[in-house]
Amino acid sequence: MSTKKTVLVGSLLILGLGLFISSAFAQVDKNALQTRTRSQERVRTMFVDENGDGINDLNRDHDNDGIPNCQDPDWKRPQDGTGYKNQFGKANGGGNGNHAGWNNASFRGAGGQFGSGVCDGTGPKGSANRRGKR
Amino acid sequence: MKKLILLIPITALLARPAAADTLALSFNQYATDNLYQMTSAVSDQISQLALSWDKNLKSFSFFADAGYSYLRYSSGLSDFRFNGGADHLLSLGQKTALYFSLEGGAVLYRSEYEDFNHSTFRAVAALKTYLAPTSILKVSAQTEYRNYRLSLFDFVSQTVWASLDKYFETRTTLKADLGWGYKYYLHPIAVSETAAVAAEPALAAPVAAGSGGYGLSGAQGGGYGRGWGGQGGRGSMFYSGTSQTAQGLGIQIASVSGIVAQGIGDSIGLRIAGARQWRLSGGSPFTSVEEYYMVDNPTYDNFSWTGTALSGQVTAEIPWDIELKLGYTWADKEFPGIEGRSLDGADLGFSRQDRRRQIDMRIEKNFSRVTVFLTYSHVKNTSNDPLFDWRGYGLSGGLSWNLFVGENK
Repeated sequence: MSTKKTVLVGSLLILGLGLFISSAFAQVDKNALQTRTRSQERVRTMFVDENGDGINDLNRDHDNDGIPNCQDPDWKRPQDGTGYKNQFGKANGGGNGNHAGWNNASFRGAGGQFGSGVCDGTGPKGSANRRGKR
Repeated sequence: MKKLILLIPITALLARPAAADTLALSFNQYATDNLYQMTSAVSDQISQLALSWDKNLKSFSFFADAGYSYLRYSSGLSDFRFNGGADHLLSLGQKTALYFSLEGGAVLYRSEYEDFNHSTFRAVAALKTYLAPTSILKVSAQTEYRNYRLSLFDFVSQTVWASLDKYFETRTTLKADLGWGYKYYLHPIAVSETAAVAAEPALAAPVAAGSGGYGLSGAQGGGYGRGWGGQGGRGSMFYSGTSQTAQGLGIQIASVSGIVAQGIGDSIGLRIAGARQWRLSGGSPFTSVEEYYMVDNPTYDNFSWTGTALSGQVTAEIPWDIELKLGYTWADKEFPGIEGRSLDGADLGFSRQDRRRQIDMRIEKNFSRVTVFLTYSHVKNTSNDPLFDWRGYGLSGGLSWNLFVGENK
C-alpha cells in the first residue's frame, strides 16, 4: 500500500472514529440535557410555599449556582431565624411527595406561634429579633 | 460590651468541626428612637451577639444557643440568654413525620431587671403530613413552664394549633390556622383596695429608673406596694407580702388566622394575611402596665389581647439573589382587664385599646454560608391610654455566619 493510500485510509478511519465519538457524546449530552430539563420542569411545575410569601420555595437559589436550594448540596439553611423554618432541607426529594429526608431543624420554633399569619410582633420573642418587632 | 468580646474566643473554641453539625454566629445591630414604646420616647442602640450549635445523632438532635444583648444607653437592661435541648424526629413513611422536643433555657438581666430573670422549660410535639404533594397538614402542641425571680409572673401554658396549607399550580397559596391556648399564672397575688391605697407612696417615690410597672387586680389579702418610676411618670407593681395565697388564675384563648398568597412569575410574591383572636375564659391578674420593652410582657403577650390583625406583604427576588420584603400591618387590639389610665395615673374607666399601623422593610442577601440583612420598621400606635400613644422607628442590620456545616447536613 502506497503512502498516499495509507494516509487516506488512516484519515478516513480517524474521521469516522471522530464522528462516532462526537455522535456518542452528543447523545450523552442530549440525554443529560433531557434529564436536566425534566428536572427543571418538575421543579417549575411544582409549587410549594410553606412560608406563605407567594414565591415558590423550590425555585429559591440562594447561592446563585442555578440549582434550587432544595436540590443543592452546597446550600445550607440560614440559621438566623429569619426564614425557611418550615423547609425540610435539601434531602426532601424536591417536593415530589417523597419526604424521607425529614429535618429536625425544620420543626424547631414551631411550638409557639399564635395567629401566625400576621407578623404583629406579639409572637414568641426570639433572641434575634425580639426587640425590633414589637 | 466585655461579655460580647468574651463570646468571640468562646466561639473560636467551639468552632471545631468534629463537635458540631452546625455552628452559626450572628451579630445584629439595632437602633430605635423609642426604646420603651411610649409617648415619651427614649432612643437607644442594641448590639446582639449570638451563637447557635446543633449536633445530629441519627434521628436525635441536640441543640443550643446563647446570646448577649448590650444596650448602649440603658445598659442596665442588657441581658444574657441561653437555651438548649434535644429533639427527636420519627418518620412514619414517606409523607408523615412526628417531632418531639424538650428544651430549657434561662434569661438573665442586669440589675435593673433582675425581677424578670427567668428559667423556662418547654416540651413540643408536632405532626406534619403531606395529604397530597401540594397540601400539608400540621398539628403542634406545646407545654411551657416559666419560673421568674419574682414569682408573681410564674406560669405554665399549653397551646395547640393546627394548620392546613394548599398550593396550586397557579402559584396560589392558601393557609388556614386554628389555635387554642391556656395560660395559668401560678402565683398571682390579689391585693385589696386598701392595700393598693397604702401602696401609693411607692408611686411618688420610685425606687429605680425604669419604664413602667404592673398593678394587680383582686380583692383580698393584705399587701404592700412596690413602684418603679416610669417614663410616663407613673407605674406601680403591687403584691402581697403577708398573704401570698397560691390561688392560680387561668386565661383561655382561641384564634383563627389565614393567608392568601399569589406568585407573579418566579420572583414576586404577594401575601394578604388576617388573624382574629378571642378570649374564651379567665383574665389577666394585672390591671395596669407600662410596657417593659425587654421582657416577655405578661400584659402584651399572646394571651393578653383580643382583636383583629391584618397585613399585606410584597416579596421580590431581585438579581444577585437579593430578597426584598415590604409589609404593612394593621392591628386593633383590646386588652381585657387592663385599665386605661391618664398620664397621672387616674383610672379612665375603660379597658386599654390600641390600634397599630406598622410598615416593615427588609432587604436580605444570602451567600452560601453568610446571610446579611437590613430592616426598617415604622410604627404608629394609637391608644385610648395616652401613655401608649406613640410612634417610632427601628433600624437593624446584621449577619449570620454558618461557621461550620457538617457532613450530616
